[in-house]
Amino acid sequence: MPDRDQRWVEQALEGSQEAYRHLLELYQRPVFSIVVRMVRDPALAEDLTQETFVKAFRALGSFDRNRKFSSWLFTIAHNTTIDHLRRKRLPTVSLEPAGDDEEGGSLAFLAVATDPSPDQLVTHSELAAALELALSGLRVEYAEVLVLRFQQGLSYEEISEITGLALGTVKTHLYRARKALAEALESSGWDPSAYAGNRR
Amino acid sequence: MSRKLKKVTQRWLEIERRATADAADGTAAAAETALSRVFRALPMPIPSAALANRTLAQLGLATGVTPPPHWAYRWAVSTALALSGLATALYAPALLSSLNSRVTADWIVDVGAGLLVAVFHRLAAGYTLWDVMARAGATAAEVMATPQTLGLMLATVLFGLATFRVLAGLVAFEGSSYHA
Repeated sequence: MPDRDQRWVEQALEGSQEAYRHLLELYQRPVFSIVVRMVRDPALAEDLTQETFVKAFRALGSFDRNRKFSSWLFTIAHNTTIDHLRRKRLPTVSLEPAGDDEEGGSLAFLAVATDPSPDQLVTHSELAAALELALSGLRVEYAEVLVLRFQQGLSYEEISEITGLALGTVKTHLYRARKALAEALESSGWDPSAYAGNRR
Repeated sequence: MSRKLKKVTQRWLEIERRATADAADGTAAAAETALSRVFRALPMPIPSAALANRTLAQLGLATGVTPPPHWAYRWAVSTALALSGLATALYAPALLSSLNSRVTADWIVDVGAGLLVAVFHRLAAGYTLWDVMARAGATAAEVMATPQTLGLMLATVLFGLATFRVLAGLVAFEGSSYHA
């Protein structure tokens, strides 16, 4: 475990409120970014993020110091979110690939409307919004492995540990998720050849 | 950021079109590297500013973390420390001139011991010496306000004893022949 995390965890176990706050501030955004891309609802994602930290800090005494704190925390976030999705079966969370007529849920943190036209996206260069929309249209497990691998920079083994998936399944999910994301992005109007054309 | 995001996204899509599932040909690794650049350029979603405080507020109830002490206790401690400091400032010359006084000597020992206990406790908990020095004022207040461990409780007792001795010493000083 990185030295800085180990120090803060030790102090938190001694009852230091500052240590709890520091760990919370350090991992709040990463946990939220994973959860929000799974549930596609920022308000719900905040509730689940809060629940994750409460569970984690309540169970801090049983944390294995030989393990990375971040991996342990992300595992709790994964389990909390999956448990919620299974209980609620929210319509905004599709476990199947989104159809053409599905919006993928409202993402309040985007700067544009949730249903922009392809021309609007390309014309106004809202690529970030297009990427988030494409992510929101993926299967929950695909979005999760993409965020864990490419945003958090975790290894296949760490992703396997967090999600409970076999190593081979993680690699397969990542391959399919990449392809699905590329296809979703291009079908929303983003095309490298069109971009190359615009640059001329 | 927008231009960089476009550039890395274009690069990733070009690679992704050629990427296969065969790890041996290297295209999958290249696609993953390219996609990681896209995510690094993509803004991370930001939760509301209130989330941290809501979570900490809930933790204070759920985990049994010692809540901040009652405001009256904190005021009493702060007042005692302030009076102690004021008395020291006003009577320092006279106190120093009476170093053979048992009251003064005991006070110096109590304050010094209290400080040493608090410093060593912090060092043992992983703070660097710089952290301790930089937060000396906060450390002293925290020692008095949140005695959560035996070390900090001992430091609190010593600081309290030092304050009592100063006040007792002032009373004795006024009635003594230390006046010039």
